[in-house]
Amino acid sequence: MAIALTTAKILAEPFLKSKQGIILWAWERHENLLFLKEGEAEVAFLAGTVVFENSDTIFTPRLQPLIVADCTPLTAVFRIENLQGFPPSLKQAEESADIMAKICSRKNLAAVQVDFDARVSERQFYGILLKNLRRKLSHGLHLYITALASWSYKGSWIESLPLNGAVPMLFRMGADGAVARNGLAGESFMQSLLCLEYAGVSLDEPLPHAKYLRNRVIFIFNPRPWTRENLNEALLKIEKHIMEDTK
Amino acid sequence: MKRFFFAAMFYTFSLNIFLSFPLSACGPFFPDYVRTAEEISSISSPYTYKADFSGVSPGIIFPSWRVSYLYQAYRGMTKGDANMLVLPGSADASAHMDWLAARKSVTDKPAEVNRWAEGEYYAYFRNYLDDAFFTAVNTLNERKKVFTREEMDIWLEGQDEVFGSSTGRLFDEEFEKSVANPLLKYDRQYQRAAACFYGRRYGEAEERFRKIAENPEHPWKAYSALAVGRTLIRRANFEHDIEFKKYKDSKEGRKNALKVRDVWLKRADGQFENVLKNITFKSVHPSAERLREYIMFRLEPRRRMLEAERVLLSVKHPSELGWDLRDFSILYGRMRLEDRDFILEEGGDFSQWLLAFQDEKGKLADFAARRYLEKKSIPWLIASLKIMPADSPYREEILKSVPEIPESSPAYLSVKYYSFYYLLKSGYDRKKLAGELDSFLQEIDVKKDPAAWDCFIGLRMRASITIEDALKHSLRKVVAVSYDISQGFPGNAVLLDKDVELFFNRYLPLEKWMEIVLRDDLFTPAIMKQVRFTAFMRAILLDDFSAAEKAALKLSENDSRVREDFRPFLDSRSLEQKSFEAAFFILHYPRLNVLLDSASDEIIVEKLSLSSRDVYRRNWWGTDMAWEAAREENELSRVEYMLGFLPEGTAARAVEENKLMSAIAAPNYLAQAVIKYADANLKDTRVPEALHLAVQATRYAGFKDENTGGYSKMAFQLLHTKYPDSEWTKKTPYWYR
Repeated sequence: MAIALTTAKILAEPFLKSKQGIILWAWERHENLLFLKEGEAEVAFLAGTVVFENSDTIFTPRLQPLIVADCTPLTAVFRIENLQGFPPSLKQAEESADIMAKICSRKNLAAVQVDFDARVSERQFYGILLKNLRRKLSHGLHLYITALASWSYKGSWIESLPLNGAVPMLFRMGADGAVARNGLAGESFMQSLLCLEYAGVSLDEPLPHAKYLRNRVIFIFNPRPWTRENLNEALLKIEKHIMEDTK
Repeated sequence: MKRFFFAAMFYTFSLNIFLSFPLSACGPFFPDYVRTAEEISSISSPYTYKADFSGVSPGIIFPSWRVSYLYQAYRGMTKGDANMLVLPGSADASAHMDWLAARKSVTDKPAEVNRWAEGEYYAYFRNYLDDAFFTAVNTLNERKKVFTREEMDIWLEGQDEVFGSSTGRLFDEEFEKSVANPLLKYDRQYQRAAACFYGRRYGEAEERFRKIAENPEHPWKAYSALAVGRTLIRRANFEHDIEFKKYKDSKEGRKNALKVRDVWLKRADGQFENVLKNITFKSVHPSAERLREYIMFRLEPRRRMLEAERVLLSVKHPSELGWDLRDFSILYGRMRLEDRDFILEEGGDFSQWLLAFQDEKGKLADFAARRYLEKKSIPWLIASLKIMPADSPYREEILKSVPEIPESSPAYLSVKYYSFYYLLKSGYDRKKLAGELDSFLQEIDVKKDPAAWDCFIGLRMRASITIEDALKHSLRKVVAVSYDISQGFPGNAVLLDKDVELFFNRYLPLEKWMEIVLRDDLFTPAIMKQVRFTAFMRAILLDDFSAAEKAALKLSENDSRVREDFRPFLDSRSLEQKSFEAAFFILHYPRLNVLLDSASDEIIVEKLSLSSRDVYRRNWWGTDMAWEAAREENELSRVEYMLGFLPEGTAARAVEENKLMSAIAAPNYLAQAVIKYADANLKDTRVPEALHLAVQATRYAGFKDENTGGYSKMAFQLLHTKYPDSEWTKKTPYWYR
């Protein structure tokens, strides 16, 4: 069973009236999020990118500053890309887990998130990597992943992974975007035990159907740097979307 | 040991705050085939579509290009330089590997180097730049010649500490007493200072470097004198971050942090000034000069921009450019947004030209025209043509200059393009313009410069006065694939202009589609095939079986498999039978579409089979037409001129037809047709297969509605109850909500 892994779920007064937690993805760019009010939102920042290429494991850490208040709970996100044309090896699973765990040991983090669009042939590797990482992370640090929407169905392969949760990314879905927008993805969509509490959206796309957002912690991707103004706009848009659909 | 390892420091985040681009989340990203003038003109790098880009062969230049490419084009047009382009150098990922390899020639002891160091605010920076490793390799090779084995081990141990190892004796004073070789002693003094520098003990590093620099006998004195300044630069950024953290308000914090930073930068600047005055430090003068530019970039950005521009305008060889092009590009970008007046008042010819050429509102039109007429400098002619209003008082004089540009000029294509563009924009007689463009198009080598050809033919299409004429000029060469430029140039692919696709989708009623379907002289066979299949789909959804038959017959002409598959549809007589046969056919061709869009472009370019299911569910006209229509609303203005080609009421009929089609969800439509037929024709041996495929369509179609699950269940139940032993039943274990 998924465990609520972020404090956003237990905030006394979440910012959205619909009482949902908000986590802002802060990608590789200069981000100043000091404008966040205490308890308003958490931040999941890109901490680095692991690239597998020619059997090598190449890590590039975050190079742009992320400025946040001390009270803002943080999740370190690691993006993984496999460019070598075949599944990464066990050695690469060990090396990459090692790198991520080392980076995390130096931060005051609430959680770690791994972002890897694993092909079917890479799933076994991904499972091993996550097991290694779970083992190496300090006790109490939650581990979760971003999930392709197709992984969010009940009984999904990800349920056997040693995770606290998975965030289905309901954007850049191609033709399935219409299915998600119209709420027609079937009853077990977003019902994987690991996905029950989360949803990921992007501000440059129409939001998915409100039923996939309601009562979940919402991760928001912004293709531009976060500002007070665009955060307010985003929250209003999500709030309105959820409330309107409830009517 | 001739290379100085503190060459340039551009990896601290303070520079990067000026650069902010939209980011993309992860895909799937589908290929977008670039071929219209509008798309080409919005690309920032000509290399995306022009392999032979250079000063003498820039093709048509666009204001959207990065400054470095516009500089290259400007130099080509003003001085005839073939290639002044210095592409920004990227960090050498293997430099530290070179060091580890060199190290291995001396010792088998394993070592690791972490090039990154953790900075403030969750960001890392490149602590060891490539030159640090190159210098270490060179020094190692030199010392191998003169040191004993034991001395070499000591030197290496010290160097390992410089590169982050914490196990050495570099700072062990007792051990130091045992080091006898004076050169090794000097090296170790320098290594200690460097270790402090990389360990971010800046105060101690500065002190140690100063001491070495003051020793006239020291072999590292020049490098150390420079390193004092480098240490102060790093200190500046370090102190900036500390100061910033003191403030809750980020604006106030930033302001005060910059003040603190600037004090340290000024100290660093003073140090470099001293280095430059000292002739004994001559070997590091180029580095000191460059580091002063680094500081000026931050303390006096206007001055730095002007200085960099002066270099850009005066250098004779790209090797003389240094960081000037990069600095200029960044600072010009800032000034363009924040201080245009400064550029207009104090900028050089290049920055002023850039400002005019990139002036979207045309406010600098008169300025550009006057500049051209005064100097006859070709870049200014292009800028004038680009931004000049229709009623410009300089119109005649500017246009008179166009024929004076010889074909051999690097500006030829640009001048021609923007002159035609201007004439079209300013209401010049279209027929006349079409004739002039026709003549000019004969001159263009489409193979050599497909992007230019696309741009001119795009103008030619816009100059058309009949739909026939527009369609004759609607084919485009694909010049780039935008989702992943690493795919390379897309060969000889040809597609319809995107505006034409949009026009077809939105404003052509079926009757007009059919006129095109029956012709063989308009497009390439691959495009015609796609157009015909799309028309067939539209005809079926609009219940016009007669039109669908005509499309099917045309499609059958040259394709035996399609002919065979269409035969039942063409042979059937009753409407009920036809409806089933159409559905059965469509179920076997999942990639059939009702729109000409990026998915159909991909089918044409990649030669994809219409009968193979798409893993991304772009199946069975997998498009939410209503949503697509809303998304395209802003783009319609581009094709409005084509509405004039159609008889009155024609476009309105197309809009009505689209409304009808957008209400149809593919899997429902197909399942309904199959179920209806199956109920009355249980003995038809194709029914189990059709039911199976109908259930599959409810899963793999891209667009569904709330009734899709019901149809899936109905088809499934019919299959399982009526044909329990069929192989198709076994292949259908589920239905789909």
